[in-house]
Amino acid sequence: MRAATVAFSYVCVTGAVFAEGDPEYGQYLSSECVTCHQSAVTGTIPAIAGMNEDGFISLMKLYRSKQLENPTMQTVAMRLSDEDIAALAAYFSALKPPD
Amino acid sequence: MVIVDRRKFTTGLLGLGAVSAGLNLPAYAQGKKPKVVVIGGGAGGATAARYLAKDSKGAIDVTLIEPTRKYYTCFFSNLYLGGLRDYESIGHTYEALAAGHDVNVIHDWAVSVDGAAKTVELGSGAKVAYDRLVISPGIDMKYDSVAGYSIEAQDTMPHAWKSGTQVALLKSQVENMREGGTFVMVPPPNPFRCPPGPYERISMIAHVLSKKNPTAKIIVLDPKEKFSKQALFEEGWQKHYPDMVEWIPASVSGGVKNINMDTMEIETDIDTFKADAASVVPAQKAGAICDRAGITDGDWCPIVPATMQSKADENIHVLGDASVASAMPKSGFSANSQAKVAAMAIRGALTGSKVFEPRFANTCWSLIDANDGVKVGANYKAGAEKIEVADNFISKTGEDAGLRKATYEESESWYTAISADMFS
Repeated sequence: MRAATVAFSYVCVTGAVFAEGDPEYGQYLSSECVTCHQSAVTGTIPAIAGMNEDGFISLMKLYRSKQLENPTMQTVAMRLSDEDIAALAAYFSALKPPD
Repeated sequence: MVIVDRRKFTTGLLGLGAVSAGLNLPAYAQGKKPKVVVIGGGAGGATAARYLAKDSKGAIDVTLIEPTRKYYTCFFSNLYLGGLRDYESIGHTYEALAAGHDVNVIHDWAVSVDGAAKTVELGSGAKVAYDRLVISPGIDMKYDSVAGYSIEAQDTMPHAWKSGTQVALLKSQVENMREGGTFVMVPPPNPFRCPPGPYERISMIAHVLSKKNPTAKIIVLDPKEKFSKQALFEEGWQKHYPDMVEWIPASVSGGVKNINMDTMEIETDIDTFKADAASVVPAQKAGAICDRAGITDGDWCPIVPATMQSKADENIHVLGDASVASAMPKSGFSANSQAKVAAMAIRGALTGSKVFEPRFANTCWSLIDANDGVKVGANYKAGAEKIEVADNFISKTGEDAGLRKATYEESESWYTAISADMFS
Protein backbone atom coordinates (compact mmCIF):
# COMPACT_ATOMS: atom_id res chain seq x y z
CA MET A 1 0.00 0.00 0.00
CA ARG A 2 1.40 3.36 -1.03
CA ALA A 3 1.56 5.85 1.77
CA ALA A 4 -0.28 9.05 0.98
CA THR A 5 1.77 12.18 0.84
CA VAL A 6 0.31 14.33 3.53
CA ALA A 7 0.99 17.97 3.14
CA PHE A 8 -0.84 19.28 6.18
CA SER A 9 0.65 21.64 8.65
CA TYR A 10 -1.25 23.13 11.53
CA VAL A 11 -1.60 26.73 12.42
CA CYS A 12 0.83 27.03 15.30
CA VAL A 13 -1.26 26.71 18.42
CA THR A 14 0.41 28.73 21.09
CA GLY A 15 -0.76 30.97 23.87
CA ALA A 16 0.73 33.96 22.13
CA VAL A 17 -1.42 33.47 19.06
CA PHE A 18 -4.69 32.68 20.77
CA ALA A 19 -4.48 34.51 24.09
CA GLU A 20 -7.52 36.64 23.37
CA GLY A 21 -9.61 33.77 22.18
CA ASP A 22 -9.36 33.40 18.39
CA PRO A 23 -13.01 32.85 17.39
CA GLU A 24 -12.13 30.26 14.73
CA TYR A 25 -10.02 28.38 17.23
CA GLY A 26 -12.76 28.65 19.84
CA GLN A 27 -15.25 27.36 17.31
CA TYR A 28 -13.05 24.38 16.47
CA LEU A 29 -12.47 23.54 20.15
CA SER A 30 -16.20 23.93 20.80
CA SER A 31 -16.98 21.08 18.42
CA GLU A 32 -15.87 18.70 21.17
CA CYS A 33 -18.21 20.35 23.71
CA VAL A 34 -21.32 20.27 21.53
CA THR A 35 -21.29 16.49 21.29
CA CYS A 36 -22.92 16.74 24.74
CA HIS A 37 -23.79 20.43 25.22
CA GLN A 38 -26.24 21.54 22.56
CA SER A 39 -27.69 25.03 22.41
CA ALA A 40 -30.76 23.86 24.34
CA VAL A 41 -30.58 22.04 27.66
CA THR A 42 -30.67 18.28 27.08
CA GLY A 43 -31.75 16.46 30.23
CA THR A 44 -29.14 16.80 32.95
CA ILE A 45 -26.42 18.27 30.73
CA PRO A 46 -26.53 22.06 30.91
CA ALA A 47 -26.53 24.37 27.91
CA ILE A 48 -23.35 26.44 27.79
CA ALA A 49 -24.28 28.80 24.95
CA GLY A 50 -24.50 32.36 26.25
CA MET A 51 -22.73 31.45 29.46
CA ASN A 52 -20.93 34.17 31.39
CA GLU A 53 -17.30 34.28 30.22
CA ASP A 54 -15.69 34.47 33.67
CA GLY A 55 -18.02 31.81 35.04
CA PHE A 56 -17.09 29.50 32.19
CA ILE A 57 -13.37 30.01 32.83
CA SER A 58 -13.74 29.39 36.58
CA LEU A 59 -15.73 26.19 36.09
CA MET A 60 -13.35 24.76 33.53
CA LYS A 61 -10.38 25.43 35.78
CA LEU A 62 -12.18 23.70 38.67
CA TYR A 63 -12.70 20.64 36.49
CA ARG A 64 -9.10 20.78 35.32
CA SER A 65 -7.84 20.78 38.92
CA LYS A 66 -10.35 18.02 39.74
CA GLN A 67 -12.12 20.13 42.35
CA LEU A 68 -15.31 19.41 40.44
CA GLU A 69 -16.05 15.76 40.11
CA ASN A 70 -17.42 14.62 36.75
CA PRO A 71 -14.63 12.48 35.18
CA THR A 72 -15.80 13.25 31.63
CA MET A 73 -15.45 16.96 32.28
CA GLN A 74 -12.15 16.47 34.12
CA THR A 75 -10.78 14.61 31.10
CA VAL A 76 -12.06 17.27 28.70
CA ALA A 77 -10.50 20.03 30.81
CA MET A 78 -7.22 18.23 31.41
CA ARG A 79 -5.74 19.03 28.03
CA LEU A 80 -7.06 22.58 27.80
CA SER A 81 -4.50 25.33 28.32
CA ASP A 82 -5.56 28.67 29.85
CA GLU A 83 -5.63 30.02 26.30
CA ASP A 84 -7.85 27.17 25.11
CA ILE A 85 -10.27 27.87 27.95
CA ALA A 86 -10.23 31.59 27.12
CA ALA A 87 -10.99 30.85 23.46
CA LEU A 88 -13.89 28.59 24.43
CA ALA A 89 -15.25 31.09 26.94
CA ALA A 90 -15.12 33.84 24.31
CA TYR A 91 -16.86 31.62 21.79
CA PHE A 92 -19.67 30.31 24.01
CA SER A 93 -20.34 33.61 25.79
CA ALA A 94 -20.94 35.25 22.41
CA LEU A 95 -23.66 32.75 21.49
CA LYS A 96 -27.33 33.32 22.11
CA PRO A 97 -28.45 31.58 25.31
CA PRO A 98 -31.27 29.05 25.06
CA ASP A 99 -34.81 30.45 25.22
CA MET B 1 -4.86 -4.68 -23.52
CA VAL B 2 -2.95 -2.72 -20.93
CA ILE B 3 -4.45 -2.46 -17.49
CA VAL B 4 -3.22 0.61 -15.69
CA ASP B 5 -3.40 0.53 -11.93
CA ARG B 6 -5.03 3.77 -10.91
CA ARG B 7 -2.50 4.52 -8.22
CA LYS B 8 0.44 4.03 -10.56
CA PHE B 9 -1.41 6.10 -13.10
CA THR B 10 -1.81 8.97 -10.66
CA THR B 11 1.79 8.70 -9.50
CA GLY B 12 2.92 8.63 -13.11
CA LEU B 13 0.99 11.72 -13.98
CA LEU B 14 2.40 13.69 -11.12
CA GLY B 15 5.87 12.32 -11.86
CA LEU B 16 5.80 13.67 -15.39
CA GLY B 17 5.64 17.22 -14.19
CA ALA B 18 4.02 18.07 -17.50
CA VAL B 19 0.50 18.50 -16.28
CA SER B 20 -1.07 21.91 -16.21
CA ALA B 21 -0.26 23.95 -13.15
CA GLY B 22 -3.94 24.17 -12.29
CA LEU B 23 -4.26 20.46 -11.68
CA ASN B 24 -2.31 20.54 -8.44
CA LEU B 25 -3.98 23.62 -7.04
CA PRO B 26 -6.79 23.30 -4.55
CA ALA B 27 -10.25 23.80 -6.06
CA TYR B 28 -10.73 27.17 -4.34
CA ALA B 29 -7.56 28.51 -5.95
CA GLN B 30 -8.96 27.57 -9.34
CA GLY B 31 -12.13 29.51 -8.65
CA LYS B 32 -14.36 26.43 -8.58
CA LYS B 33 -16.72 25.47 -5.80
CA PRO B 34 -15.13 22.37 -4.33
CA LYS B 35 -17.17 19.19 -3.99
CA VAL B 36 -17.13 16.78 -1.07
CA VAL B 37 -19.01 13.52 -1.26
CA VAL B 38 -19.74 11.63 1.96
CA ILE B 39 -20.59 7.92 1.82
CA GLY B 40 -22.58 6.77 4.85
CA GLY B 41 -25.01 8.74 7.01
CA GLY B 42 -24.12 7.45 10.47
CA ALA B 43 -22.21 9.08 13.30
CA GLY B 44 -19.15 9.71 11.11
CA GLY B 45 -20.78 10.60 7.81
CA ALA B 46 -23.73 12.66 9.03
CA THR B 47 -21.45 14.67 11.34
CA ALA B 48 -18.89 15.23 8.57
CA ALA B 49 -21.56 16.38 6.12
CA ARG B 50 -23.11 18.70 8.69
CA TYR B 51 -19.82 20.28 9.79
CA LEU B 52 -18.51 20.66 6.23
CA ALA B 53 -21.70 22.39 5.13
CA LYS B 54 -22.21 24.45 8.29
CA ASP B 55 -18.62 25.66 8.77
CA SER B 56 -17.87 26.33 5.10
CA LYS B 57 -21.01 28.48 4.91
CA GLY B 58 -21.86 27.31 1.43
CA ALA B 59 -18.29 27.42 0.08
CA ILE B 60 -18.26 23.63 -0.29
CA ASP B 61 -20.81 21.60 -2.22
CA VAL B 62 -21.60 18.68 0.12
CA THR B 63 -23.34 15.49 -1.01
CA LEU B 64 -24.31 12.72 1.42
CA ILE B 65 -24.98 9.24 0.04
CA GLU B 66 -27.00 7.04 2.37
CA PRO B 67 -29.37 4.25 1.29
CA THR B 68 -31.81 4.48 4.19
CA ARG B 69 -34.24 7.34 4.69
CA LYS B 70 -34.39 6.76 8.42
CA TYR B 71 -31.28 5.91 10.35
CA TYR B 72 -31.60 3.88 13.54
CA THR B 73 -28.59 4.40 15.77
CA CYS B 74 -26.67 1.39 16.96
CA PHE B 75 -25.89 3.23 20.17
CA PHE B 76 -28.88 3.03 22.53
CA SER B 77 -30.37 0.10 20.56
CA ASN B 78 -29.60 -2.00 23.66
CA LEU B 79 -31.85 0.30 25.70
CA TYR B 80 -34.65 -0.41 23.24
CA LEU B 81 -33.91 -4.12 23.70
CA GLY B 82 -34.18 -3.63 27.46
CA GLY B 83 -37.54 -1.88 27.14
CA LEU B 84 -36.13 1.44 28.31
CA ARG B 85 -36.62 3.32 25.03
CA ASP B 86 -39.06 2.94 22.18
CA TYR B 87 -37.92 2.05 18.68
CA GLU B 88 -38.77 5.37 17.09
CA SER B 89 -36.72 7.27 19.67
CA ILE B 90 -33.52 5.90 18.08
CA GLY B 91 -34.57 6.71 14.50
CA HIS B 92 -33.44 9.88 12.69
CA THR B 93 -34.06 11.38 9.25
CA TYR B 94 -31.84 13.53 7.04
CA GLU B 95 -34.39 16.26 6.41
CA ALA B 96 -32.68 18.87 8.58
CA LEU B 97 -29.30 18.27 6.94
CA ALA B 98 -30.87 18.84 3.55
CA ALA B 99 -33.14 21.75 4.48
CA GLY B 100 -31.04 23.49 7.13
CA HIS B 101 -27.53 23.02 5.75
CA ASP B 102 -28.04 22.55 2.03
CA VAL B 103 -26.52 19.09 2.08
CA ASN B 104 -27.45 17.26 -1.09
CA VAL B 105 -28.79 14.00 0.37
CA ILE B 106 -28.97 11.10 -2.08
CA HIS B 107 -30.75 7.98 -0.84
CA ASP B 108 -28.90 5.33 -2.82
CA TRP B 109 -26.06 2.85 -2.46
CA ALA B 110 -22.51 3.84 -3.33
CA VAL B 111 -21.43 0.83 -5.39
CA SER B 112 -17.91 1.79 -6.44
CA VAL B 113 -15.27 4.48 -6.21
CA ASP B 114 -12.92 5.48 -9.01
CA GLY B 115 -10.05 7.11 -7.17
CA ALA B 116 -8.28 8.22 -10.36
CA ALA B 117 -11.34 9.88 -11.89
CA LYS B 118 -12.52 10.97 -8.41
CA THR B 119 -16.06 9.74 -8.91
CA VAL B 120 -18.49 7.60 -6.93
CA GLU B 121 -20.86 5.34 -8.84
CA LEU B 122 -24.34 4.95 -7.36
CA GLY B 123 -26.79 2.06 -7.50
CA SER B 124 -28.78 4.07 -10.04
CA GLY B 125 -25.74 4.07 -12.33
CA ALA B 126 -25.19 7.81 -11.88
CA LYS B 127 -21.70 9.07 -11.09
CA VAL B 128 -20.97 11.78 -8.55
CA ALA B 129 -17.69 13.69 -8.82
CA TYR B 130 -15.67 14.79 -5.80
CA ASP B 131 -12.59 16.75 -4.86
CA ARG B 132 -12.52 14.97 -1.51
CA LEU B 133 -14.39 11.83 -0.54
CA VAL B 134 -15.38 10.86 2.99
CA ILE B 135 -16.07 7.15 3.49
CA SER B 136 -17.87 6.24 6.70
CA PRO B 137 -19.75 3.01 5.95
CA GLY B 138 -19.48 1.31 9.34
CA ILE B 139 -19.01 -2.43 9.49
CA ASP B 140 -19.84 -5.50 7.48
CA MET B 141 -20.13 -8.96 9.00
CA LYS B 142 -17.75 -11.86 8.37
CA TYR B 143 -20.59 -14.35 8.60
CA ASP B 144 -18.35 -17.38 8.04
CA SER B 145 -16.17 -16.50 11.05
CA VAL B 146 -18.55 -18.63 13.16
CA ALA B 147 -19.02 -22.20 11.83
CA GLY B 148 -22.67 -22.76 10.98
CA TYR B 149 -23.56 -19.06 10.92
CA SER B 150 -24.52 -17.30 7.69
CA ILE B 151 -26.40 -14.34 6.34
CA GLU B 152 -29.54 -16.50 6.27
CA ALA B 153 -28.97 -17.50 9.90
CA GLN B 154 -29.23 -13.88 11.04
CA ASP B 155 -33.02 -14.24 11.20
CA THR B 156 -32.72 -17.23 13.55
CA MET B 157 -29.92 -15.91 15.76
CA PRO B 158 -29.80 -12.17 15.04
CA HIS B 159 -26.47 -10.39 15.27
CA ALA B 160 -28.48 -7.19 15.66
CA TRP B 161 -25.21 -5.28 15.35
CA LYS B 162 -26.43 -2.70 12.85
CA SER B 163 -29.51 -1.63 14.80
CA GLY B 164 -32.88 -1.43 13.01
CA THR B 165 -35.08 -4.45 12.33
CA GLN B 166 -32.51 -6.99 13.56
CA VAL B 167 -32.77 -5.52 17.06
CA ALA B 168 -36.57 -5.57 16.89
CA LEU B 169 -36.39 -9.24 15.89
CA LEU B 170 -34.02 -10.10 18.74
CA LYS B 171 -36.24 -8.25 21.23
CA SER B 172 -39.24 -10.28 20.16
CA GLN B 173 -37.29 -13.56 20.40
CA VAL B 174 -36.11 -12.74 23.93
CA GLU B 175 -39.58 -11.78 25.07
CA ASN B 176 -41.06 -14.98 23.64
CA MET B 177 -38.59 -17.40 25.20
CA ARG B 178 -40.11 -20.34 27.07
CA GLU B 179 -40.20 -20.08 30.85
CA GLY B 180 -36.85 -21.02 32.33
CA GLY B 181 -35.27 -21.09 28.86
CA THR B 182 -31.69 -20.37 27.86
CA PHE B 183 -30.46 -17.33 25.96
CA VAL B 184 -27.01 -17.72 24.40
CA MET B 185 -24.89 -14.73 23.45
CA VAL B 186 -21.84 -15.17 21.22
CA PRO B 187 -19.85 -11.90 21.25
CA PRO B 188 -17.44 -11.07 18.41
CA PRO B 189 -13.63 -11.29 18.51
CA ASN B 190 -11.60 -8.04 18.59
CA PRO B 191 -11.66 -5.56 16.96
CA PHE B 192 -15.36 -4.84 16.66
CA ARG B 193 -17.96 -2.09 16.81
CA CYS B 194 -18.81 -0.93 20.35
CA PRO B 195 -16.51 -2.89 22.71
CA PRO B 196 -18.87 -2.77 25.73
CA GLY B 197 -21.93 -3.42 23.51
CA PRO B 198 -22.24 -7.22 23.87
CA TYR B 199 -22.06 -6.91 27.65
CA GLU B 200 -24.58 -4.09 27.79
CA ARG B 201 -26.80 -6.28 25.59
CA ILE B 202 -26.46 -9.13 28.09
CA SER B 203 -27.35 -6.69 30.87
CA MET B 204 -30.44 -5.40 29.06
CA ILE B 205 -31.63 -8.91 28.20
CA ALA B 206 -31.10 -9.91 31.84
CA HIS B 207 -33.10 -6.83 32.83
CA VAL B 208 -36.03 -8.04 30.68
CA LEU B 209 -35.77 -11.69 31.75
CA SER B 210 -35.44 -10.90 35.46
CA LYS B 211 -38.92 -9.37 35.26
CA LYS B 212 -40.69 -11.59 32.69
CA ASN B 213 -38.87 -14.89 32.95
CA PRO B 214 -36.81 -14.92 36.15
CA THR B 215 -35.77 -18.59 35.99
CA ALA B 216 -34.25 -18.11 32.51
CA LYS B 217 -30.47 -18.33 32.07
CA ILE B 218 -28.00 -16.40 29.93
CA ILE B 219 -24.90 -18.20 28.66
CA VAL B 220 -22.15 -16.07 27.12
CA LEU B 221 -19.75 -17.98 24.86
CA ASP B 222 -17.02 -15.42 24.42
CA PRO B 223 -14.16 -15.90 21.93
CA LYS B 224 -12.15 -13.53 24.15
CA GLU B 225 -10.49 -13.84 27.55
CA LYS B 226 -11.49 -10.42 28.80
CA PHE B 227 -13.77 -7.57 27.78
CA SER B 228 -14.48 -3.88 28.14
CA LYS B 229 -15.62 -2.67 31.60
CA GLN B 230 -15.44 -6.30 32.74
CA ALA B 231 -15.22 -5.65 36.49
CA LEU B 232 -18.16 -3.22 36.30
CA PHE B 233 -20.38 -5.59 34.33
CA GLU B 234 -19.54 -8.65 36.43
CA GLU B 235 -20.23 -6.73 39.63
CA GLY B 236 -23.53 -5.49 38.19
CA TRP B 237 -24.65 -8.92 36.95
CA GLN B 238 -24.00 -10.39 40.39
CA LYS B 239 -25.86 -7.55 42.06
CA HIS B 240 -28.91 -7.25 39.79
CA TYR B 241 -29.22 -10.68 38.19
CA PRO B 242 -27.64 -13.19 40.62
CA ASP B 243 -27.08 -16.64 39.06
CA MET B 244 -28.66 -15.62 35.76
CA VAL B 245 -25.56 -14.77 33.68
CA GLU B 246 -22.72 -17.23 33.06
CA TRP B 247 -19.79 -15.81 31.09
CA ILE B 248 -17.51 -18.49 29.62
CA PRO B 249 -14.24 -17.37 27.97
CA ALA B 250 -12.69 -19.29 25.06
CA SER B 251 -9.98 -20.72 27.33
CA VAL B 252 -12.73 -22.63 29.15
CA SER B 253 -15.15 -23.48 26.32
CA GLY B 254 -12.57 -23.93 23.58
CA GLY B 255 -14.66 -21.49 21.55
CA VAL B 256 -17.75 -22.10 19.41
CA LYS B 257 -17.05 -25.11 17.13
CA ASN B 258 -20.33 -25.17 15.25
CA ILE B 259 -23.89 -23.90 15.36
CA ASN B 260 -26.80 -26.02 14.17
CA MET B 261 -29.48 -23.56 13.16
CA ASP B 262 -32.18 -26.22 12.88
CA THR B 263 -31.78 -27.51 16.42
CA MET B 264 -30.49 -24.20 17.92
CA GLU B 265 -27.50 -26.12 19.32
CA ILE B 266 -24.18 -24.39 19.85
CA GLU B 267 -21.23 -26.77 20.15
CA THR B 268 -18.14 -26.11 22.22
CA ASP B 269 -15.41 -28.37 23.65
CA ILE B 270 -17.05 -28.51 27.07
CA ASP B 271 -20.72 -28.87 26.15
CA THR B 272 -23.37 -28.38 23.50
CA PHE B 273 -25.67 -25.56 24.53
CA LYS B 274 -29.28 -25.68 23.38
CA ALA B 275 -30.59 -22.15 22.99
CA ASP B 276 -34.19 -21.00 23.18
CA ALA B 277 -33.02 -17.71 21.75
CA ALA B 278 -29.57 -16.48 20.78
CA SER B 279 -27.58 -13.58 19.43
CA VAL B 280 -24.47 -14.39 17.42
CA VAL B 281 -22.25 -11.47 16.54
CA PRO B 282 -19.61 -12.58 14.04
CA ALA B 283 -16.20 -11.04 13.36
CA GLN B 284 -16.35 -7.73 11.50
CA LYS B 285 -14.63 -5.76 8.76
CA ALA B 286 -14.89 -2.34 7.16
CA GLY B 287 -18.01 -1.76 5.05
CA ALA B 288 -17.69 -3.35 1.59
CA ILE B 289 -17.30 -0.04 -0.28
CA CYS B 290 -13.84 0.27 1.33
CA ASP B 291 -12.57 -2.78 -0.55
CA ARG B 292 -14.05 -1.44 -3.76
CA ALA B 293 -12.36 1.90 -3.17
CA GLY B 294 -9.03 0.09 -2.71
CA ILE B 295 -8.40 1.55 0.74
CA THR B 296 -8.39 -1.56 2.94
CA ASP B 297 -5.37 -3.38 4.27
CA GLY B 298 -6.80 -6.66 5.52
CA ASP B 299 -10.18 -6.00 7.09
CA TRP B 300 -9.84 -2.28 7.89
CA CYS B 301 -8.67 1.04 6.46
CA PRO B 302 -5.36 2.50 7.66
CA ILE B 303 -5.49 6.27 8.09
CA VAL B 304 -3.22 9.25 8.64
CA PRO B 305 -4.13 10.22 12.24
CA ALA B 306 -4.02 14.00 11.86
CA THR B 307 -6.55 14.16 9.02
CA MET B 308 -8.21 10.72 8.86
CA GLN B 309 -6.97 10.49 5.25
CA SER B 310 -6.68 7.01 3.84
CA LYS B 311 -3.06 5.87 3.63
CA ALA B 312 -3.89 4.50 0.18
CA ASP B 313 -5.53 7.60 -1.33
CA GLU B 314 -5.02 11.12 -0.02
CA ASN B 315 -8.30 12.33 -1.54
CA ILE B 316 -10.27 9.93 0.64
CA HIS B 317 -10.91 10.32 4.37
CA VAL B 318 -12.12 7.29 6.32
CA LEU B 319 -14.14 7.73 9.50
CA GLY B 320 -15.47 5.62 12.31
CA ASP B 321 -15.65 1.86 12.56
CA ALA B 322 -14.08 1.25 9.12
CA SER B 323 -10.85 3.06 10.01
CA VAL B 324 -7.84 1.85 11.94
CA ALA B 325 -8.10 4.47 14.66
CA SER B 326 -5.67 2.61 16.96
CA ALA B 327 -6.43 3.55 20.56
CA MET B 328 -9.89 4.93 19.76
CA PRO B 329 -12.68 2.38 20.09
CA LYS B 330 -15.13 1.79 17.26
CA SER B 331 -17.97 3.89 18.66
CA GLY B 332 -20.45 6.51 17.49
CA PHE B 333 -18.78 9.08 19.74
CA SER B 334 -15.38 8.31 18.17
CA ALA B 335 -16.78 8.59 14.64
CA ASN B 336 -18.41 11.92 15.49
CA SER B 337 -15.11 13.20 16.90
CA GLN B 338 -13.09 11.98 13.92
CA ALA B 339 -15.60 13.60 11.56
CA LYS B 340 -14.91 17.03 13.06
CA VAL B 341 -11.15 16.60 12.66
CA ALA B 342 -11.58 15.43 9.06
CA ALA B 343 -14.04 18.21 8.22
CA MET B 344 -11.56 20.80 9.47
CA ALA B 345 -8.74 19.24 7.42
CA ILE B 346 -10.91 19.07 4.29
CA ARG B 347 -12.04 22.68 4.63
CA GLY B 348 -8.42 23.67 5.07
CA ALA B 349 -7.40 21.83 1.91
CA LEU B 350 -10.32 22.97 -0.23
CA THR B 351 -11.06 26.50 0.99
CA GLY B 352 -7.85 27.55 2.73
CA SER B 353 -9.50 27.84 6.16
CA LYS B 354 -7.35 27.49 9.27
CA VAL B 355 -6.33 24.02 10.38
CA PHE B 356 -5.65 23.52 14.07
CA GLU B 357 -4.04 20.72 16.04
CA PRO B 358 -6.39 17.73 15.79
CA ARG B 359 -8.05 16.58 19.01
CA PHE B 360 -10.13 13.47 19.42
CA ALA B 361 -12.38 12.32 22.26
CA ASN B 362 -14.63 9.44 23.18
CA THR B 363 -16.94 8.47 26.01
CA CYS B 364 -18.83 5.16 26.04
CA TRP B 365 -21.72 4.92 28.49
CA SER B 366 -23.20 1.50 29.26
CA LEU B 367 -26.32 0.58 31.18
CA ILE B 368 -26.15 -2.44 33.51
CA ASP B 369 -29.66 -2.12 34.91
CA ALA B 370 -32.24 0.68 34.93
CA ASN B 371 -30.51 3.71 36.50
CA ASP B 372 -27.19 1.86 36.85
CA GLY B 373 -24.99 3.57 34.28
CA VAL B 374 -21.21 3.38 33.92
CA LYS B 375 -18.81 5.07 31.52
CA VAL B 376 -15.30 4.96 30.12
CA GLY B 377 -13.68 7.76 28.18
CA ALA B 378 -10.50 9.34 26.91
CA ASN B 379 -8.89 12.18 25.04
CA TYR B 380 -6.70 11.30 22.10
CA LYS B 381 -4.01 12.99 20.05
CA ALA B 382 -2.76 12.34 16.56
CA GLY B 383 0.64 10.67 16.69
CA ALA B 384 2.67 10.33 13.49
CA GLU B 385 1.47 6.77 12.92
CA LYS B 386 -1.34 6.19 15.39
CA ILE B 387 -4.06 7.94 17.32
CA GLU B 388 -2.81 7.86 20.90
CA VAL B 389 -4.48 8.19 24.31
CA ALA B 390 -3.74 11.44 26.12
CA ASP B 391 -5.91 11.11 29.27
CA ASN B 392 -8.54 8.57 30.23
CA PHE B 393 -10.99 7.52 32.96
CA ILE B 394 -13.39 4.70 33.85
CA SER B 395 -16.24 4.37 36.36
CA LYS B 396 -15.28 2.52 39.55
CA THR B 397 -16.77 -0.60 41.04
CA GLY B 398 -18.76 0.04 44.22
CA GLU B 399 -20.02 3.47 43.21
CA ASP B 400 -23.19 4.54 45.00
CA ALA B 401 -26.61 4.36 43.36
CA GLY B 402 -26.93 8.14 43.11
CA LEU B 403 -23.78 8.47 41.01
CA ARG B 404 -24.83 5.55 38.79
CA LYS B 405 -28.24 7.15 38.23
CA ALA B 406 -26.57 10.47 37.37
CA THR B 407 -24.29 8.66 34.89
CA TYR B 408 -27.32 7.05 33.25
CA GLU B 409 -29.15 10.38 33.03
CA GLU B 410 -26.02 11.94 31.57
CA SER B 411 -25.99 9.25 28.86
CA GLU B 412 -29.61 9.99 27.97
CA SER B 413 -28.75 13.67 27.71
CA TRP B 414 -25.71 12.87 25.58
CA TYR B 415 -27.88 10.84 23.21
CA THR B 416 -30.15 13.82 22.61
CA ALA B 417 -27.16 16.10 22.10
CA ILE B 418 -25.11 13.91 19.75
CA SER B 419 -28.23 13.14 17.70
CA ALA B 420 -28.65 16.89 17.21
CA ASP B 421 -24.91 17.20 16.45
CA MET B 422 -25.37 14.66 13.64
CA PHE B 423 -28.80 15.34 12.23
CA SER B 424 -30.10 18.81 13.19
